[in-house]
Amino acid sequence: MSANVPAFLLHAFDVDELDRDEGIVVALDRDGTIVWHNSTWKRFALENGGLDVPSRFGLGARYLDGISGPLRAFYASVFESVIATQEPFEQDYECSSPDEFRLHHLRILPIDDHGLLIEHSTRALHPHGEGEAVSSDEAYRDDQGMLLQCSNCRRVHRVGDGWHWIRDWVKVPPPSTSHGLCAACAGHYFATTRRARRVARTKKATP
Amino acid sequence: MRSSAALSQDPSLPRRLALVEDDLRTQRTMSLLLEDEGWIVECFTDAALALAAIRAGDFQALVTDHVLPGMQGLDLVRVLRQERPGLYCVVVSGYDAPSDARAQGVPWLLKPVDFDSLLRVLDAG
Repeated sequence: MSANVPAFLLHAFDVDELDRDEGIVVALDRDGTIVWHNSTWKRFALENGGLDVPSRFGLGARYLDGISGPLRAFYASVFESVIATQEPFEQDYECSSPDEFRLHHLRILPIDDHGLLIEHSTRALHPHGEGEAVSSDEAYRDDQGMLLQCSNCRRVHRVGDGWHWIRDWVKVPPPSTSHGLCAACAGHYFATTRRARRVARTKKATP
Repeated sequence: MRSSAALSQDPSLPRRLALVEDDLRTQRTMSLLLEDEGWIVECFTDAALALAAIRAGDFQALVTDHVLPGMQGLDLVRVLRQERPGLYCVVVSGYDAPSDARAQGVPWLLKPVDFDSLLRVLDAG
């Protein structure tokens, strides 16, 4: 999976884990060109747009070309702002079907000065009119009985199956929950912290 | 024997730090960032292994997660404060510090750790 992955992405992120993520993850360079995407992106494109979609919106395509209308200008300004400020952009959005209520979460993370990591993950998914099913914690416990929650985005790691956002566990996680970082948050934390320290050292060295 | 404070203030001397973190991704991230700052970092996923290594080695600082499989980070700090008063210990956790840790003045930072704050705490040691 590491072949053809841009060095700036490999340097900060666990790309193999991002590839396994059940959410959509796409990396753009500074110009908004798609330089990497995970398997879910390709699968989603095939399911929603037909066979030519992966080539039209695959590597080398401009991400904003897939967005039309006023949203295109909005996201263009968001991309510029995230790179300029190095502050992530986040929003929830609903994308329900006639049968299912679906709430997704969009995060746009800066990758130092190199580009952006865009992540779409699921916040809620259940039939209309029904509440969320109560989650059992068994599938989330490792062989030592521990759960791992990302200390930044608060998603919880399901063993062998990526990161899930469970509303009830955001404020009060189950017993024996340890805190770490998911692949996206770890990469973002590493890239932004290293960048900030580099800037601080340069300032210190400059009389 | 020089104090850990004196060691940390002399940039010509290597500073060894034990990092106890059961999440390997977080461990790697923190380790690389601390190494950028000149620390020699030895990583552990387990407090008991860290305790054995610190007893046998020469460390100036400990940064430990609190919730760990087996021995908890705060318990590790309590043991080392008795055995190694010169070792500077910091707990990092996704949970607020319990009242006894606050009463004992254990340096406690919330995850995700503000790295500048961690460096300030280590420098203060």
